[in-house]
Amino acid sequence: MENNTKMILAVLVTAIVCVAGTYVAVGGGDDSDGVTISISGSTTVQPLMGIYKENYEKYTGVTLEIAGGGSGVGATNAINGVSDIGMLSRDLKATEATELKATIIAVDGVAVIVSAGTGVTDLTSVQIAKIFSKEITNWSEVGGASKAIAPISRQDGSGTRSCFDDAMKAAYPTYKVKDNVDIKPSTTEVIGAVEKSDKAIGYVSFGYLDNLDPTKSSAIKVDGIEATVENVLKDVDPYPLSRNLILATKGAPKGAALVFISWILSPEGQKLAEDEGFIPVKPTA
Amino acid sequence: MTETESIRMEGRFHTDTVTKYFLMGIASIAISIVFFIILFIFANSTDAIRDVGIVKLFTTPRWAPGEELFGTVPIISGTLAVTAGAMIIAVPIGVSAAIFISEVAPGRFKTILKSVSEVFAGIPSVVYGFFGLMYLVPVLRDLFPDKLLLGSSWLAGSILLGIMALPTIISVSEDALNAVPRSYREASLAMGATKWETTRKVVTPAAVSGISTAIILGMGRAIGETMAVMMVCGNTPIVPDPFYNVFSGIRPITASLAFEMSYVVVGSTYYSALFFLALVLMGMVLLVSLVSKMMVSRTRKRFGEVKEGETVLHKLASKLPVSVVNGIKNGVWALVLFTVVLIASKPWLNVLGAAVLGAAVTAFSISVALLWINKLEKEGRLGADGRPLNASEFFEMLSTKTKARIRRALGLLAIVVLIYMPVSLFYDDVTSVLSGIAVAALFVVWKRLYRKVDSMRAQKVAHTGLMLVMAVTIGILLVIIVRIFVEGLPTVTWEFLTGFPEDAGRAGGIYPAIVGTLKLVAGAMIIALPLGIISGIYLAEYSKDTPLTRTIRNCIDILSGTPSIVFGLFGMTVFVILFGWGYSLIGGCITLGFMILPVIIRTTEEALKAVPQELREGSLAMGATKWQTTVKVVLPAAFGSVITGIILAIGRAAGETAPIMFTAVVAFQSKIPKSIFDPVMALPYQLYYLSTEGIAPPGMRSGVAVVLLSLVLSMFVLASIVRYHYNKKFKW
Repeated sequence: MENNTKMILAVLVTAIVCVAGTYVAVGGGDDSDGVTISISGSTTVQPLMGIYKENYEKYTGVTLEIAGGGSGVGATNAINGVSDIGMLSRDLKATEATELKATIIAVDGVAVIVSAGTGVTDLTSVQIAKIFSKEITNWSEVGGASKAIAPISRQDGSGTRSCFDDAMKAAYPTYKVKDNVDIKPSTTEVIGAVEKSDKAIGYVSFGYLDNLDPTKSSAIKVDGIEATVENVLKDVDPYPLSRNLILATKGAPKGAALVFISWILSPEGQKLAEDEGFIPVKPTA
Repeated sequence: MTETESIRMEGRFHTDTVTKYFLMGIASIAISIVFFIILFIFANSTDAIRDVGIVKLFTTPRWAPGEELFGTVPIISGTLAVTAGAMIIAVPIGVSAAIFISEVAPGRFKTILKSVSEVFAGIPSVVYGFFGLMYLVPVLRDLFPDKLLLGSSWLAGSILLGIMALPTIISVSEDALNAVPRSYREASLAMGATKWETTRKVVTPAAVSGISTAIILGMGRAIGETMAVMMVCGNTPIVPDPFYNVFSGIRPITASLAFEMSYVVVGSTYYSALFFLALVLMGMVLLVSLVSKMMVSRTRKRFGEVKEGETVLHKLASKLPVSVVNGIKNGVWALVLFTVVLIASKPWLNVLGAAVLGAAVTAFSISVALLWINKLEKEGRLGADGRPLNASEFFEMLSTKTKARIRRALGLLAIVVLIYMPVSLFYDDVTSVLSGIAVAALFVVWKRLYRKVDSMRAQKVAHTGLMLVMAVTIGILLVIIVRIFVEGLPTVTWEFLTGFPEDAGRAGGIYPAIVGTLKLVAGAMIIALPLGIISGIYLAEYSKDTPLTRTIRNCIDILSGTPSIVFGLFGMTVFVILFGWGYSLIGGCITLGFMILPVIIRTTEEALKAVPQELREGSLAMGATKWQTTVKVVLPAAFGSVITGIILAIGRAAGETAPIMFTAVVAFQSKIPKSIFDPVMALPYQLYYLSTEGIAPPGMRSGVAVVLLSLVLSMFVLASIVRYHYNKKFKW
């Protein structure tokens, strides 16, 4: 019977799909079943954590699960127990600090980058603040080429943004990012937009500076101070834009999380942070 | 009838009833999904409604969460703007392409062109976004260097969304044109009209409700799009100034949801305000689906399929006193007039002045209309219906000549305004108004000349024009696919496909993402297939027109219109937060499964309905039960169509980003996870991540795009092959 064959075929196909699906879903394949640490949060810390993951998993049976989200998500996930560790590129807020314990794993500077062709290599904090408040709108007003300025910001709640905002507010109290400033969801998009333009200004983590194409964009001096790790660490006239990179745990870290965080603070872990362009907080290897 | 026979009959009756209720129960799951989605979105937005206040949510002019300002107007206007822009681009192209396919293209091309436009629909949103970010945005920036500082803008978003809305508009319009009875065409041709005249004056007007439905459905698609708009719109939460400034950045609701959700603290007012935005989005989608329903019932009425198409609105109206209904109708007209004047005068006046002018014009028009009616009444020239009581009756009352004049005047005014708006972005007001008038004059001249043109020649020109539009449409598709393949193909090596990511995703392979996507899709299918096929069987074979069935159908419509990001938020609140699973494969599978459920239900239902009634009658007449008939006769006959639909659904599920980005995915994995409660990597998210967050060489991104596109497109090829074979086998 033609119909019967069809029916059998249908049942077979469905069965194969289901069995294969279940097999795949339940996961044939890898068989290591060790401890898993779930980590989520700041996209600034995420690439560094990716490096940690590669190195750490080589030597231990621990599996690290790393998701992005943003600093806010990192804190929330750590509080709710969705993640064992939350990554933040800002300090804990008062409400978060009641539930979470923060461990500083590195310090990061925020560099101000401009497109090639703006003709500017040095701006004061006040000038930058005015640019993002749209009080200065042409590069010629700050000694550059005569063309409009295209500022690029990050979303409220981003750790990079909050570091930038704090520094700008300190320098220029009426600083306020205008609503018509383009907002990019991530550091890479900021870099991409600055490099594709010839009149843009944005700000990114030091960790990303290696990725700039020097023919298309560059980091500028802020208040005459170059964006380097040494300048952030200086006691006198330090580079003004820096923040802590934090791993947050519910209560003091314990178990696998404690071992992992201790390894990050070890000379080897700190060296990896330094290699990624961040500023170590403990001696490096 | 002997006793045993009657018992057997009874038994047969019972089995069928039990089966029926079982099927009904499964089909009703769609209702509970809709209920829970709306419930969770609403429950999460109550904080914002309480803390900020519903009035403030709609009246605060700014969306600045950092300053605790949660005005939704700029975000909502972003959605409206990007959708309107997309429609301006997609409607003329889509409808022309549909007319070409239905009326001009020779028979065997029709199928090919239809499947090509289906391929458009199959390209994942994130791939469109990637294309927009990499190619469209820079091109726009170079085209308008003075206007666009960065290129990301309303314009970029609308162009992308326009392309994405094309397939819906083309396929639904084409169906509407096809549904116009053959007798209409034959009558027109018999009277000596050319083919083009028939198309223009008979077929298209007859299909106009169907085409409107197509436009509305396309709008629904555009409103709900997430990944593509978020990547190219600039994300500035502002109302464009002036309101037609397409170079302004905007931030539609979906974009706001997708990327702000990452930064909020769960439980904060900000978090809740985002859910309020999702609620508004759902409201807009529901409105769109309601309007499209009304359109569909109108189309049916037109061709006599349904005697009296009653919609909720009609029912409601019939219950209210006539005076109230007229009051509402007039109120709506007055409000429309007021708003139009207000918006139109906004560039020159401040808000107060514009409002006063709007009120004045409205009052003036109402008094003119009233005076006119009074005059006619005194002269005893009112028609049989007596005094017109609402604005549409008033318009109906006017003589045909006056009506035509008003239409013509409004048409010319519309041309002037439409030309003025874009031109005024570049030149001063006088030049812009003059060019508007010039174009309107040209239009009048052209209309006059057109009458004198030989109708065969006109047809040739029109058909060539339509063909060009079709060619451009296909050209766009080819450009997108070819550009991505050319750049990405060199990256796609065996190591790339089978390796693990290295150096935080900057190098290495994407094996875990491929496996993850397959797992997500398989899991989604395990959830959606049984539910969807059983619901489809119920709706096609067992359901009668009861309130429950209608509710189920409505809920399926709502589900299929629900934006994918809303499914993502639902999955996040339920599986990640409430159940505490964190990011997990299973959470992603359930979310994706819910999303494709309506597709599977629809496909199954339509495939079953296409099976001729005679087959069922034959089977029943031979003593088979309804269930036996369904399983052994109807289902096998519809097998090919069902499988085709399922394959297309797999393609769609594989490409979705928004539902999984908050429920299931991570960016790096160095092992294939074992448990279903572990997160996975997935191709569409990886493409999004690499093009926005990770720092990867361009080849990496395009490589992922190539793999994703190949996966999705191969599903289409597979579906076409199945359909082809099946069509050859079964011919009723």
